[in-house]
Amino acid sequence: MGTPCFAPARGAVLAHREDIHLVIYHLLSLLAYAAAFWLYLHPEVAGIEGPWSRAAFVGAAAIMLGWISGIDVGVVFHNHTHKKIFRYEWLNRWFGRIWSVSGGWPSYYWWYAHVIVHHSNLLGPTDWTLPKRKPDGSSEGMYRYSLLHWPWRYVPHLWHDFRAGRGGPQVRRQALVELFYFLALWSIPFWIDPVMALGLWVLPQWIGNVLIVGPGMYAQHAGCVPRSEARPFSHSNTYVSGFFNLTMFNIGYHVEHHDYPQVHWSDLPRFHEEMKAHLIAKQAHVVPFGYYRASRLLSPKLTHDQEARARAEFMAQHPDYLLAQHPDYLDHAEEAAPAVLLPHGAAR
Amino acid sequence: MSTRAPGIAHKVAIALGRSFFPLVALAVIVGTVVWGPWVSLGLTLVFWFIIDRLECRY
Repeated sequence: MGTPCFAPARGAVLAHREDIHLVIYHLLSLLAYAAAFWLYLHPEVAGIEGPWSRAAFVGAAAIMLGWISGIDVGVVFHNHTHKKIFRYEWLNRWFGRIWSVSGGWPSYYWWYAHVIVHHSNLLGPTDWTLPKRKPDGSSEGMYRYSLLHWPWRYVPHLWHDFRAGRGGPQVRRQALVELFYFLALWSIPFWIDPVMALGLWVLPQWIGNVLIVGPGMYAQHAGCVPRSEARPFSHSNTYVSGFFNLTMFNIGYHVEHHDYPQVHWSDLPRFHEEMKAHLIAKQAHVVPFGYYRASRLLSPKLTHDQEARARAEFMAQHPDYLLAQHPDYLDHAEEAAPAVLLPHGAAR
Repeated sequence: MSTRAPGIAHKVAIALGRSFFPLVALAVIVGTVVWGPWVSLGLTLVFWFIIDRLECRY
């Protein structure tokens, strides 16, 4: 038994009651993988009668599994990396290990890339998780970034960082230990059926990282610049689609998340309302849609005209967040977002 | 009772919303038993198209 992370209420396992939704999401995802594996191994039950119908089943299942795995690691597990969901450290560690493996990631590696590299150096020269910048300051294209970031860029960067001990002297040893656990868990489908593992394990993980997480990461910081005194919220985009934030655990509130990562994911909509005047006064980029629409707008177009229209729609400010609509909010332009806004005494 | 019902309905809606994607994935995968693999593939592509529209409207 490990020691509790926080002073626990008697009998409570979760650190926050809303975190049960994260657990349910991941368990349903594992159930979806198990169902797909079982049907693949019992094709007569699913009406799979030959190579083409098997390919159709693998195609459908891989897309759906990849989709939910991308969200599972990039959003759901992501919340756990910022605020551990259990009160017991051993449970956090082990649930984390079985959490990110279906997304093709050792949990420690994802935590390192996201917290140590991305959050600590947001849009800086050592944040290698984001799209590369061209000499003119613009970003590489979304397709190029999505195709190259996982695993082709992550592996050499992680290798270099772990060898150099970036993040502390314990990093290298911890990386080796976690790689061992990851490979032991990740190899399980290969022991059952190697061809099945390629179609219903590796392919979904590729889809999840390249087609879901990649465009999502791209959309979070597209058109952004490092924070400055004049533009403190210009480092991220905030997406306020209700459907998107309901199904994506409020990941759309990204300006707020980066400035206050310790605010619990379920508190972000309320926190967003409390910060709204500051966001408007300091011209944070807020859009009414979510990452799917954004990805479509940011993807390459056939003509310059289409490209310009798509860019204009992406860059257009949500009508409710135009400073011209709220001249009274100018009073907030010179103020820093006060710490008293933080719910439940969370630290910035 | 009248004040309790909306609270429960809201909680159920939130729970279903947050598990929306894995529930759809499960339905598409397990539903193959009912309608076969080709319909599942078609549903997957239609679903991808619908999501883009949903998040623009709501």
